[in-house]
Amino acid sequence: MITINGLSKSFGTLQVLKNISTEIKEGEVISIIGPSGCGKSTFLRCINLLETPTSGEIVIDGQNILAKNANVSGLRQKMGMVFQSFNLFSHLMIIENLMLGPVNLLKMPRQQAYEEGLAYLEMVGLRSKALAFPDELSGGQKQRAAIARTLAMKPEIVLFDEPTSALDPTMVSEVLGVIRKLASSGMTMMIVTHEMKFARDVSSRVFYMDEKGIYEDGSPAEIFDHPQKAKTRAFIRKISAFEYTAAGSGFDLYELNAKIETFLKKQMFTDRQIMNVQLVCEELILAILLREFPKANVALLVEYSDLSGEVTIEASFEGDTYELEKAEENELSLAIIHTYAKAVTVTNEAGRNTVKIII
Amino acid sequence: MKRIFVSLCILMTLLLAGCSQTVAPLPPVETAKIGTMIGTLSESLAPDKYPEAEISRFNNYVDESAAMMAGKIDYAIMDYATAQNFIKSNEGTTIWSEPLTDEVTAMALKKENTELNQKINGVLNRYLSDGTVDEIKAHWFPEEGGAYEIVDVPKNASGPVLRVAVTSLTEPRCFVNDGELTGMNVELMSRIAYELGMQVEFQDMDFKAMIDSLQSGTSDVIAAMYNTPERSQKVDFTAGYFPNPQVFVVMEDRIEATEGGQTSQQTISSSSDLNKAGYIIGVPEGTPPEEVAKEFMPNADISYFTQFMDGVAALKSGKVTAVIYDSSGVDRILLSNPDLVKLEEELGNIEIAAVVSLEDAKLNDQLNTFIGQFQADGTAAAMVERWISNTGGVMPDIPKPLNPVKKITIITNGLTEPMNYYENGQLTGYDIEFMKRFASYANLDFEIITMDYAAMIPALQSGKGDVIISDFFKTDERGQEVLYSDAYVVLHNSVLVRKSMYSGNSENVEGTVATNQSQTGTGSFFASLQDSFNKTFIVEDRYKLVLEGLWTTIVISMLSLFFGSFLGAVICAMRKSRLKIVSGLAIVYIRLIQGVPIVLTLMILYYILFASVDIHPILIAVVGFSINFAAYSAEIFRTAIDATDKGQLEAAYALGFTRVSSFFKVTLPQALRHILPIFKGEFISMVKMTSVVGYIAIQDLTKMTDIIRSRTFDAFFPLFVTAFIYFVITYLFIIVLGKIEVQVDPKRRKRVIKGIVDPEVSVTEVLK
Repeated sequence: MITINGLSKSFGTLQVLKNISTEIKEGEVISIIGPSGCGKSTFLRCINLLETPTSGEIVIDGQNILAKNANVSGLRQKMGMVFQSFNLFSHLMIIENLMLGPVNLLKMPRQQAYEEGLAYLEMVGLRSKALAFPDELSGGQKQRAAIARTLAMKPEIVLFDEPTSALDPTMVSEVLGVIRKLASSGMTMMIVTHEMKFARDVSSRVFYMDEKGIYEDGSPAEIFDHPQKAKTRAFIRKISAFEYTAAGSGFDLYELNAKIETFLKKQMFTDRQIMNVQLVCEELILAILLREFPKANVALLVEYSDLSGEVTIEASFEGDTYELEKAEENELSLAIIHTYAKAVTVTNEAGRNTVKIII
Repeated sequence: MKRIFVSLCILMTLLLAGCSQTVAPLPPVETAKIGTMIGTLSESLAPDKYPEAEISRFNNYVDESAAMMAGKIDYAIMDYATAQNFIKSNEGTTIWSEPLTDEVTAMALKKENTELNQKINGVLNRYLSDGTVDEIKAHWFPEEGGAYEIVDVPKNASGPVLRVAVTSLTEPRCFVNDGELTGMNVELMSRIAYELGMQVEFQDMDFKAMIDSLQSGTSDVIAAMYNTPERSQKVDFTAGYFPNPQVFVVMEDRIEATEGGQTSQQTISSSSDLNKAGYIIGVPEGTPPEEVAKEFMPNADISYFTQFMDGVAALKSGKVTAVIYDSSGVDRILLSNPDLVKLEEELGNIEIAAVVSLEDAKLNDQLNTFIGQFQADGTAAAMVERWISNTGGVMPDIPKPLNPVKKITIITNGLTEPMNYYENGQLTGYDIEFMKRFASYANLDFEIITMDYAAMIPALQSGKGDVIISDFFKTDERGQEVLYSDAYVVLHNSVLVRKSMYSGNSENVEGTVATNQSQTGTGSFFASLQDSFNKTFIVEDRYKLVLEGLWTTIVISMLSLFFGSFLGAVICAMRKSRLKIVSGLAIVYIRLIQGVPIVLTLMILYYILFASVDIHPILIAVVGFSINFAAYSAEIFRTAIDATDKGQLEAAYALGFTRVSSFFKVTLPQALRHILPIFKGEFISMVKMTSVVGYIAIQDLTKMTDIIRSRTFDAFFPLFVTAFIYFVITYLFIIVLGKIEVQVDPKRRKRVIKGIVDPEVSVTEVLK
């Protein structure tokens, strides 16, 4: 339904998108992921012309939106957009927000628009808030209302520009729930997101954007589990693994714990699970390794595998071979670690000790 | 009783307006508030001489002068030389009456009869007798209070040094000017040193240190010091060379205000009595009365007014001592003002003439021919009888010509009884009859426009009017700018003074007072209020004038609001345009209009841009106020629009709204919330600003007050009532705009969706 040919966009001398060509078919749910500032949002906004491309063509249902006499408003009505900052009309009640487009653009009678609007609100769980004003809603409620607003226009495709980035983690799931439901109903969607697990679950196709274009394009399994190209691999690895260096016995444990928490929350870990990992890391690094080698630089790697559901904690440092298991002082710590760990392995290669714990 | 009431009200109004207080007379010195200077003779003198007085002590003359200006002290005591300096830098102060003491400044020398001392004494005594000292004094204390005369004093290049102790804070005797020590003492001592073949060195020190310096031999002579018995024990004094007694300094206008008492005020019985410094004569500028004032009362000060009514108001409130105007106006004024009186003598003629522009000789000839005729056939004399010699003149019926050759515009003032004034809402008077007769004679149709005297000649020159017929005094000076007709009536200069200052024959025209008054107790307050109300509104149906003026004000305000807002929206759109030229134009417009006072804008439109266009002045006013209002509105709109959320606009675009419809559906409703509060205020400002349209010959509410005041001379009632009316209209506007504000604020209105039916959803569900 949407064909993009040779799309390029520059802001002054800075070129953000270069010669992108792709095709989006009906019913596809495409997640767009990638490092910050690589033009994901710009790409999305070019499609409905909120940003004007420097060159190229975007053909929607056979009409090039970039043509001189294109009916931009009409084409936009076929595409809905959900913004990071919600952008509800603050002077109108929620139901009026939903009614504005249909009544004025689709020329729908008010009563019909009203009733349909209430139905959409019910679908997103906000029927009781129909007469509320946007500033009376929480962030998650606002975004759900915004989604209902786009749906009221009965679009052919909905574009989501980082829909949960501005939300409190506690509210993220309610919005993701709505999007999930929408996807399963067969709506064509393009979602720019940082929620990797969600992207994996919901999409039928993933664009990894880098180097001014769509760097790699494939199914979620392909992109997340078997990334082909170098940068994709590095990205996937980065987002599915957590690295930290504890420099000596005076390192900042609190910082480490915080980073572990942030990483694992993204993987939808529960608080209990996160605490367990933190505990293991603390015991491993602080109680054992740095006690024995107070000056060592311990490189910590925490990886999570979706397939196996396992967390791998790997700590390595330069030094002589250390028989971790054998030392008596480690008894208590080892006992704690073994409560949670499935396996603990210690190796030494080329002057480098590595301890690997699988939870 | 009424006088006290009116005075109280004027006082209150003036105080509220932040003006200075009414002038209070000087109380007797013995019990007055006296200011003295710490460290000087006055400090000890005052409590000694006036033990019952309230004595204030000041650290410096700046504070003392401020206290005097504010009325906190009545008299200030200081030495004569300092007083001269004080009154020079403090306008409105003067030295009063005799000196209190008799000190004379001398020089002090060491208590040894040295050769030097003898020589100094010798030179000084010679100077005293041959007039040199007087000459030097005149350089520094000029008669008329002008600038100092700084002369070059010869100096010796070599020789022994005469060391003189001085204190440099006593202008003009010894002070620092342009970095150099100068003054009377400096000049005198320099000359003495020169005569003695010596060089001179001045040692600036504290007064208290001087005697010690002399005794220890550090100084040879002290330039200025009083000879007191105490000091004579320590040093020798030369002869005194500068009398410098302690004197009183007071506010000039308070001397005048002190009636009877010990001040030098006399009562007036003739014009020569007015020829006194401190008196103020009110006259219209550039007229025979002004010449009379200058000729007969050269010592008095002159104050100018443009309408006779203002001059009379100034006289009644004590701001001027006398007013000179033409006899017709003066005689008429006496009828309703028993507190005023006319001096008997006649001080020369005033010729009243019509005025046309220099190019219009033809009209002038017609006028002159007519004037000749109407004087010859007795009509002029009859008119004088009707309007000037008697009151209650009724305008005879003089129909307008049936087939006029053309129409002229006649300019008149409308506030000058009995020549041109309003009665029963109609213009009437000598000038008006004159106009009618002339028009009939010359077969002309005419319309009359009214304005202030100051605006008349510009209006004539810019073509707004063809002729001025308005008790206009003929003068030679103005004969350069305009063309005068022959005199059509001859009046004479009359002098008006307050009855309280008058001491002559009371055979003047006092006339009867218009209404009865009860003189007893508290009842008279309400009676006078009632009288004021009566005079202002009921007599001659004057309330109709007020309603007319009110209507004009409302019309101008509403039309300007409408056009101004519309124009403002256009300018705002231009301002926000992406084309540099268009937005640049808008910016220039806004800065220009915001920077020019509305009065000037109106006058530029009236006298220059629309000069030759025959358009009703109200429309000009609407144009002026619309332009002004637009400039401010444009900025208000712009700020409000910029304040709205850009993200919501994007959402509107994404839904498929065009730029224009997004503006109206999303930006505008939100912007309105920001616009209305300030907009309200700007509109109300504008309504009040319309009170200046009197400048361009429009009779709005404020001008109507002037008209009424010119008949009743009652300042309090019309002013307060007009202010009240403005308050009421602006308050009404605030209420209406407030209701609109509520409508526009989405939160304030009820939560009802327009155009649908739904029994299910209710408001209570919404509340958290």
